[in-house]
Amino acid sequence: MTVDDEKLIRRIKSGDTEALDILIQKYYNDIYTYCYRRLGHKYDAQDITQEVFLHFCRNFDSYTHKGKCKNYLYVIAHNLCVNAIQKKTPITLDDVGEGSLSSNDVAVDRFEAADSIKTALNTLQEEQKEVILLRFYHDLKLKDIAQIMNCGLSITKYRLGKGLKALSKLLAREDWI
Amino acid sequence: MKINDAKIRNDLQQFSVPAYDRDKMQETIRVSKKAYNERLLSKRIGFCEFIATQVRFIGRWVWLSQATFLLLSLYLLSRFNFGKVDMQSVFLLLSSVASLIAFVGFPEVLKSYANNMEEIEACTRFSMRKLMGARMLILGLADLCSLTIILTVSTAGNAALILRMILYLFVPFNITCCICMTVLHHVRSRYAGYYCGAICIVGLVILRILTWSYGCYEAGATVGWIILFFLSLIYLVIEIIRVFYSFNRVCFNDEMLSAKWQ
Repeated sequence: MTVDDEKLIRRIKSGDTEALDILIQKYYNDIYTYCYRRLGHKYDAQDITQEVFLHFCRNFDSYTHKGKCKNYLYVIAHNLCVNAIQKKTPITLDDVGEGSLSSNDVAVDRFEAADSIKTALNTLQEEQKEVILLRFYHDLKLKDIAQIMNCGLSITKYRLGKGLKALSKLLAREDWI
Repeated sequence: MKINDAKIRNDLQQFSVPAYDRDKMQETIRVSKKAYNERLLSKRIGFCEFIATQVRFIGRWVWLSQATFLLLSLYLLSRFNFGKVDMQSVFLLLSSVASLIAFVGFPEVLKSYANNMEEIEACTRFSMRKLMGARMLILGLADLCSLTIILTVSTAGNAALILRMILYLFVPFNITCCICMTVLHHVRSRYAGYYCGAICIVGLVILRILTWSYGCYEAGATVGWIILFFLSLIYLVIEIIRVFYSFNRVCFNDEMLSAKWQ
């Protein structure tokens, strides 16, 4: 059963930390997957996800609920990911499909497919990659993506179009699409 | 080139994300709750905001008493005919009201001690010194506002007497504050309020005797009032500083903790 964000925020404002517990559990996976796809590393993603919720809690008094709590969390995640990418040192050991890789052919194919997609996404510009992630993995509207990325709607559409074209080309080159 | 969103979406789903650690999520919840509870402690507030929050904790009866004294004195002043009336009555009224206005706030400053709450307040968000300082500042400003209004109304009838009226208002006010501060410095219990009240009543009686027997409101006594004004002002400043710096002590030097530490 999903709990209405407005009620949760009202409960948190009145000091009910159980509501905070529910809110974190509700959005933890969304923020984690977003961070993972931006950073490409499980432990970094988990750390940034924790930072997102910590930031949210520390600055809770300045938060005004306008029906988009999830988007607010994405904005924090976006900013923290940008900072993390700027500081990022190359990671040698990649944990894509960690624990799921087995010796059978299907698993190997799936790993290769995932790796191709990941490589193709990483080849894109950061802004294009982020628009695609938010649009196709998190099902956000372009208007909301524009707000999260702090840019105009037209530039978001432009980035999405450019990103998709580039992605199609890259994947086609690898005989994927 | 027309991009097929559904196909792209389908292809992108191949990029799976490893499941997060449940322990990490529980840790996130725990540290977030802690951060939520600690946010008030880490949040710094400005001086004006701090004073505004402390105004809410001043009891209503203080404001009511002060407003009553102010309105009563304004009513009495409005009924005096300054040209004909014996000015000694006006001066005595001003001095009495100033003393009462000064006294009204002191039980409020003392309320932490009167209710045995000083130990709890000493370990809350703001230090005892800050809380007491804020209370004294708010009540002091309110007193000064009331005195300024009374002074404005009283000098409107007779502007020539402005200096004497200032003295007749502020000297009793300063002396009452000095007495209350001295009591506050030495007695930190509900009895301090009674002592202050008793001393104020005695002071008012002495003032009345002096008025009728020795003519202390005569123009010739003005120099004495000026000297008294400066002396009381100096003593008051010293006493305020001493009291302010003594507020962080929960127990006095001659008191001992009864609990034995293991």
